Amino acid sequence: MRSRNGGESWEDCTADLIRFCEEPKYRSRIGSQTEIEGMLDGHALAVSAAAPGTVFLANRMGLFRSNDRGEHWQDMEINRFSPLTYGRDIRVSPHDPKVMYAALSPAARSTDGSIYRSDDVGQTWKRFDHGVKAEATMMAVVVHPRDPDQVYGVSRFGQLFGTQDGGRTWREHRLPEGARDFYAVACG
Amino acid sequence: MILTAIQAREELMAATSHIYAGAARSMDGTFGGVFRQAVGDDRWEHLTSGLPHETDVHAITVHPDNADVIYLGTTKGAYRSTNRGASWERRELGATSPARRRRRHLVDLHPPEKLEYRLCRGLAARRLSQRGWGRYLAQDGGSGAARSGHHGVPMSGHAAGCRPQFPRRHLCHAPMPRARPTARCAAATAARAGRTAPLI
Repeated sequence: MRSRNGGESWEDCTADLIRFCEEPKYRSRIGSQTEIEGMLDGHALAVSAAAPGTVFLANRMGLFRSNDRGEHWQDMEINRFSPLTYGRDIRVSPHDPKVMYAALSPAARSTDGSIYRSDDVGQTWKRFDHGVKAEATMMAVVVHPRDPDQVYGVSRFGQLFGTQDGGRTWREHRLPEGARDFYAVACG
Repeated sequence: MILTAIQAREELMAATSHIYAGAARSMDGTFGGVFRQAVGDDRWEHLTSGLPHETDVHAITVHPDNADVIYLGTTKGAYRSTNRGASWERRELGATSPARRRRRHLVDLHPPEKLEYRLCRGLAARRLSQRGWGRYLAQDGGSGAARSGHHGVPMSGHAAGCRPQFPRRHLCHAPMPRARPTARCAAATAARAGRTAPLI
C-alpha cells in the first residue's frame, strides 16, 4: 500500500507483485487458497536516500525493489548471491544510505539463517556473518544508530548474533531458555 | 552516598549501549517479552516492570536522539520506557482510536518533530482484516494519538515505512489476499492468543 498524502488515502501497489506469480517459481501457498500468497507475504520495507523513489521489499519469495514508488517491481534475484532466499527483514544503514542489510533464511521455520550486506544499494550482496550458526530462521537485523561497526541479528529461537568491529568478528549471545519466536531486535 | 551511587549508575547507563530483543511466544511452555543486554556483557535481563503478564513483543524502536527512550509494539498495546526498559508505561492511543484494545504489531518513529505509531491490524482473521489498516500519529511523544485516515482496504500488515526526506509519504506492505480467512491467519491468531500454532 502506498500513500502520497501522509496516510489520508492509500493505493494498492500489489498488481505488479502479483504478476510475478505467472511464473511458477514465485508461487507459494501455505495457508490460503491462492498461490499468490507468497508474493503478498511482505515482512519489511525500506527506502534509501541513495535511491530516491526506490522501495525495497523483503517477503517470503525473496527481495524485491521498485524504482518508481511501487508501480513496478523487480526481483533483486538474491539467489545470485545467497542460497537463502526467504526475506524476513531489510534495513538501510543509518550511517550510509548505500549500505543495506537483509535477514535471509530458507523458510519461515527453518534451521538456518544469515545476515547479508550490500554496499551498493542492493545491487550486490555478500554474507556478512561468519563463524556463527543460526539454528532457526533469521528474523531481524539492526545497525547501531551511533556506531556503524555494530550490527545485530536475531533468530527465531533466541540466538542474538552481533559484531562490534564491522563484521570482522561475530559473537552469539543466547537469549534465556524458554523465550521463543523472536521478531524484533534494536540497539541504542 | 546513596545518591552518588545512583548518579554513578545513571552515568554508566548513559555511556553504555544496549541491545534489545523482543519475542512473541507461539507454543505452550515458552514465553515472550522484551530482553536487554548491555553491549560487552553476557547477561540478559527480562524487562517486565510495567508490562502486562505474557506480553508478546513484535517491534522495538530506540529513539535515535535519546537512547533512554524505547518504544514497544506488543499484542497488548504500545509501551514506552524513558529509562532504557527498566520500567514501561502504556501509551494510549486516545479516545479517537477504534483500535484501543486491538493488537499493535508495529511502532515506527520519525523524530524529531513527531512520533508515529504505525499499527498494522487485521493480521489475525477476517473480522480484523475487514476493518483495514490504520496509521496513528502522536505529536506529543506518545501521550496520546489520533487515527489518521485509512483507505479501508482489507489487509494484514507486518511492515510500514516512510521516506525520510518526504515524511508525509508512507508505504505499507502489500495486503494478503482478501479471500476467506486463511489457515495462516488462523495460525497467527492462535499464536498471539497463546495457543500452540505454527507461525509463518
